[in-house]
Amino acid sequence: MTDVLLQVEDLKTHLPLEEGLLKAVDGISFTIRRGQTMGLVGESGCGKSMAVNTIMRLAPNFAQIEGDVTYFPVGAEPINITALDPYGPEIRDIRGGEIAMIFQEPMTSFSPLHTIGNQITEAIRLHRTEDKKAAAKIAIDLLQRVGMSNPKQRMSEYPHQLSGGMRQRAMIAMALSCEPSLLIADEPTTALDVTVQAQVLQLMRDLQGEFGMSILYITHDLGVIARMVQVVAVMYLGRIVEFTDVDSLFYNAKHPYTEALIQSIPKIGKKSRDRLESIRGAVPVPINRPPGCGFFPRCSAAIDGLCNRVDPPLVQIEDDHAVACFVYPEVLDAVGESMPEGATHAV
Amino acid sequence: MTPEPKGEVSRLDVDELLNYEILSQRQLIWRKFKRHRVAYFCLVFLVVFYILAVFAEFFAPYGAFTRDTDFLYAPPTPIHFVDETGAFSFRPFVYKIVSELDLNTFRREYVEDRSEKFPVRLFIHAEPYRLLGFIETDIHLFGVDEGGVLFLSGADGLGRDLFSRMLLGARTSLFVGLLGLAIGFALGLIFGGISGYYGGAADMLIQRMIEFLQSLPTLPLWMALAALVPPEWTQIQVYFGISLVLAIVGWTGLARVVRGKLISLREEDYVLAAKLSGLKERAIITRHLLPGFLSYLIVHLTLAIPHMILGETALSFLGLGIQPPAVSLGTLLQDSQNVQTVTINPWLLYPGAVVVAIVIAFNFLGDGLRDAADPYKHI
Amino acid sequence: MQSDETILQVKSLKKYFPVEKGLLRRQVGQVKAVDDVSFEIKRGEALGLVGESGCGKTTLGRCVLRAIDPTEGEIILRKSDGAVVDITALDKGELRQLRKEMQMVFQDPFSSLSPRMTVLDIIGEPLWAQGVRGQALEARVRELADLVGLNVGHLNRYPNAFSGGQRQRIGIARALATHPGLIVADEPVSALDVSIQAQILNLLQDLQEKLGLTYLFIAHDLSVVEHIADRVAVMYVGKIIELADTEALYLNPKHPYTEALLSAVPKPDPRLEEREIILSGEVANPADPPSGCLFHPRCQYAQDRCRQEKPPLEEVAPGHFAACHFAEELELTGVAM
Repeated sequence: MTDVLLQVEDLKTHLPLEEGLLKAVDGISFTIRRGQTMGLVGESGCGKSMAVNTIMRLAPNFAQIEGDVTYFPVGAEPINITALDPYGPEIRDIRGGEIAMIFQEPMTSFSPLHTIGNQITEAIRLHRTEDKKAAAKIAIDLLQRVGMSNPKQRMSEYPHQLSGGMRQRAMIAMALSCEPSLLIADEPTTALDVTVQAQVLQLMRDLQGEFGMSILYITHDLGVIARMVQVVAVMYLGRIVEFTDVDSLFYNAKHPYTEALIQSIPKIGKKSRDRLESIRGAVPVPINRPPGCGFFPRCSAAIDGLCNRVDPPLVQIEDDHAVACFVYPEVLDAVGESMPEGATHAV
Repeated sequence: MTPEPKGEVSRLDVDELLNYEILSQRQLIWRKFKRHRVAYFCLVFLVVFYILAVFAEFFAPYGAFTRDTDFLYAPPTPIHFVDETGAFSFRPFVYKIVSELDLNTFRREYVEDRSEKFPVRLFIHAEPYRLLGFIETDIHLFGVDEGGVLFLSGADGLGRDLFSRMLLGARTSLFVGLLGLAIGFALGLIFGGISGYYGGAADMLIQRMIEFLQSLPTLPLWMALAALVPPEWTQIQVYFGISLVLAIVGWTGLARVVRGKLISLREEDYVLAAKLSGLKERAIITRHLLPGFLSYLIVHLTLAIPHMILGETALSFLGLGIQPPAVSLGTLLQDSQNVQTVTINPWLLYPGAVVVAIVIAFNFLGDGLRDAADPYKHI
Repeated sequence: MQSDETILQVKSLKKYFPVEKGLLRRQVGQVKAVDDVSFEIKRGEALGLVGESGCGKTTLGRCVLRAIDPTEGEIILRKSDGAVVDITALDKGELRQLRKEMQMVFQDPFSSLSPRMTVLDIIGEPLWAQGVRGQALEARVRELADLVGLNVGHLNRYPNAFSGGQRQRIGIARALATHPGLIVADEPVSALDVSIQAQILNLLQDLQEKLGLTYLFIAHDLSVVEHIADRVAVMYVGKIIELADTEALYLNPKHPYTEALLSAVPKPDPRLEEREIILSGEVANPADPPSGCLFHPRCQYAQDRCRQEKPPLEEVAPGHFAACHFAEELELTGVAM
């Protein structure tokens, strides 16, 4: 497959803590194609941020990491990112050069001591051109393209002088400065107000069209997912429980968790003051997790003796639609189990 | 703004999993503290040391002022388990020490007279003293019979046992620290409290005062204040005087901590909730504010004690603090002011080692407490 | 107050924060966090208060409870015995007495519960403040824990043993302890996980029905507010710019800012291909507000008049108030129901 950009296979990030083994990421696999926008959605503690940190080799150094992350550059040999030295030059070339990241709080990715312009030109000179003047020109052009008014003046401003929205734009400009093939956006608009969020989301859509890079959105906001991505992976307790295109996610969700999650969010413009469907309980802690499906204690379709005994694997049950739930016979077949007597298929 | 729901995996969740739920904050802190091995060890060390200091007369084989002019600058007495015949005894013993005059250097040399052995005895009856100032007794934890000497860390220029003097001196130094701290604590709490709770003009005045005090070089300030202590004061008065001097210089840091903590605690939602519940100011202070920064205060205090001890030591070393004949680690170190004496009699520096050990122990203890007391520490 | 039905009436409420500079803290200006706001809430009603960060909604909520003292204006509360008081005129002692009539639910379930107190003590604190002790206090706390869906057996635990959602239940139980009529809920679900938000929203609705509570529900999330509020007030830079029944406001907004806000909410539906209004610029700085209508620099319908004249909040349809010179002329789009 030539159009694959990033392939993640059975990635595990286990953190040995005093309290026990924290399986932050527990065997996830997915691929991102060139120009594709993908969403990684889940609640806090589901491991979505740890997953991208592992992909970028930014996981804590005591983490036990297994699995493969392969990056396919244009016209070059594929690179196995998990095999690289996390502090070596190769991974640094990929980070910022091939794969760029933007974060929820832009303040943490800018140094408060240097001007915006300084930091963006620095990044450009590191990855693209040595020439100072040319780099500055590219930087100004980028600031213009991310919709910052008066970009020349912005170049000489410090991060704290910018508003939250402007800072996020500046960070996007910096991320794009090296024309990455993949942009990882970790909760890029969560800290912003709705109207500013709308601006930034619009900007990212425009830029995606313009630059054609792939984008991986990490978010808990299903509204952002619905508007921004083509395919979605839903994570729960360190695992992907459903993988599908965005339309099926909202109109044909297969996993009881996904279904319940979509049911539980208040939707604007729907009949007001109805009770929401809620998911009982809370997300458990992924430390010393018992075997079986992580959603078992909260699931309305749970099958005792099966779901709390065997881990459901992620199995493709329709075109481009994979799900990890024993409600589906394909998933049962994949582990060679059968439905216990008297259990129902109903979801 | 939508804050992303609290951190990926919080400490709290972890604790929940481990059935920590019935533990109070204090129990959690203690549990975390015990995991900090070094700090825990230091705590044990300090407790032992304070016990040694409080019952110094009992643990010391000699009195602080007992002179034996035959043993001026006597080196530490070697303790043996095996005698010259090769026989091993569980009870350690010392040989008789005799002094000889080296005719080449004209210095006294102390040599062992291997013909006479003195076993080290426990609970020996020796010099009488008053334990804790009122229990009259003459029992010492260990010692040797008349005729032999046991200088664990040598003797000073007047032939006094340095080990005994160190124990007694440590008592002075350790408790000057505590006393100074108590006074400084009161000052810091009052000024910091006013500053943080009322704010406004009082806050500004106090803060400027603190800045002024902190901008003064510590040592000259100590010296100036110590010079104010009248020479006719008794030992005990001087002792309190020095504590006061240390406190006056040392309270500013604490006041800042108190102020900062109060200001941040006042902003906590749970304090507002208490106010909205209709709690009176006094109840808010006692139920929420004080317990809220108690742990931080303890940490700060722990880290402040070594400063006090060092302050006393420095002042006494310079001859401005506790005055001889009173003993403190600082006055003991006065003997080591002469480089030549120290080169010949290096054990005179042992009190310095004791100061270092105490200060380091307090610092590690403070670090451990700080780590344990931070309830929002994440993995 | 106009009718017996009104439980809270806020009249021309202002809260200005001084801006101080320099060593001597000279006042160099002021931030009009809440600027001449008036509204009322009927008993048993939920009024939603929405706006972006810095619009003054939290300050307003805190002024209503007199957690902070307003600069000017009146806040009139009808007590459970029917008597009417102006909260702004009360002294400390009187205010403490009134605390049992109105309570608050906080945004952050972590910082709003003291880590040093057991759940029993936390929920019981408002009762304790009223002089309730011992058995009576414990019995009431048990009742409250049961009411909000907490395990009564866990009352001796400390808050660190509970998840965010459970902690928010504890906070709600505390707010209900003294049978208050009015609850100010400041972003009560925004710090919670998506799957927990629904639980807490449902709980708040159930409690309202069961106990006849009145809510001032402050939130930035329009979909959450739509769910719980009977009427909604939209704030922008310290002022209410639109106030109407929820349905009217969402279907048929009369202020361009409301229209933009509604349009900006990311909707969890990929098939929705709608015209989105992207506002330019950012929220005006309340320390240096623009002339005329505060929204005019971002408004696509702005005209000269908007730059010069401040629009008052006027009734443009029965029960529908908007502060826009052209409220009656503009054809604005809401969300499809």
